[in-house]
Amino acid sequence: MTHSNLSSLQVIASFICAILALGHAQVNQQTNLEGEWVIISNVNQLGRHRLFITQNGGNAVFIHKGQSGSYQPDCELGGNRDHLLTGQLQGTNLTGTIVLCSDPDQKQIIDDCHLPSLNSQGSVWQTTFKATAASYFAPSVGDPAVAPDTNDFIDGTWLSEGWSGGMEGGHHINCHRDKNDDRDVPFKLERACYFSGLDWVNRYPESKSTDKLEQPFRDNVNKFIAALQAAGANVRINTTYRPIERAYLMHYAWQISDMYFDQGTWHAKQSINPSTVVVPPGIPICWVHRKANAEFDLAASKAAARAMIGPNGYGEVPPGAAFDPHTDLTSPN
Amino acid sequence: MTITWTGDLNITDANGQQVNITSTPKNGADNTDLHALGQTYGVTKLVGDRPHWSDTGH
Repeated sequence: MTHSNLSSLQVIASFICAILALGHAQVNQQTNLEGEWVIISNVNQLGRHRLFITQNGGNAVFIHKGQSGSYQPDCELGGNRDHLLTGQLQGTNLTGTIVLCSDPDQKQIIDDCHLPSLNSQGSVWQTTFKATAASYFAPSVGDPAVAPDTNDFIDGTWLSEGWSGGMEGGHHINCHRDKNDDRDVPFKLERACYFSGLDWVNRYPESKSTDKLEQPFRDNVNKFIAALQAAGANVRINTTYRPIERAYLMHYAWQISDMYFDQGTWHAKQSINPSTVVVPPGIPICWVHRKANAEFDLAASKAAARAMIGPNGYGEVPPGAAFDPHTDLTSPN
Repeated sequence: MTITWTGDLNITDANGQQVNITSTPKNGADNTDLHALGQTYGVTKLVGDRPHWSDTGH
């Protein structure tokens, strides 16, 4: 029997992470992770997968963009995982467990060293992670002056435990824990979108100044207004310039809302399903809200759209704001 | 823009002609005489969108 000392067996062991039944995320006023997130760095057999984190639960489950509910992506060596992260939030510190899929080396170490696995194939396991959660706005978009070009993110590392031992007959033997070979493997998530709602109304403000108008229309309007005022009319300018982002938001909030407010009361109207609305790259809005199980929450989605077009929002009345669906929003104003 | 007035609106059009608008309703959204007067300035009312005036009517 031969022994090769300190052959590095990079693998994790979930038995030290005995916190299988983690509590709910502790959300404070400063940080709220509820909503849709996307993986922006390669995480263990996952590309830009999308995740949903619930308000009251610490789970980050896999979702498809624009589809209701969660799913379980397959691992390369079999099995699957129903969530990526389970964590607890303290201030901006997020800690917990991350579920990972084995590569062939990891699977062999799990098998040979009898390390814990979450399935009988040794293809799914978990380890601990620690991360910083930056939530500038969430879950709905807020004041752009706070962090105008920054999305919320979860930036952390998961622990890859070091194991050492020898090799015999192509199998690992004398496995033992070796902290010298521990590694912190980085991962990062970014908030994919922010829930629709009143906060969006303050974004992309419009102008009431005729200076925003192009010539010769600007001079024409100024002369018309001067004539009206000279005749004693009351003139109030509603909008002279509306950014295309605002036009997009006003139009689709109107389309999604099932009611509008006019003459002091709410009126029913026809509406569309929020999941059918295309979201352009520059406007990270979640028109669809979700329940704790990641199913679409159409009632919450409609309520948010109602708030946006209502008296405290855009104040839209029929026919609602116009928007050309062919508008190029890839290079927004 | 939202335009309202009371009484008659004695207003000068873009050609310098004095026009007395006595018709109702006395608001810019619905008064077609005011819409016609706006046209002389090259400011056209978009019917169906109450506060909307433009160079083309769209």
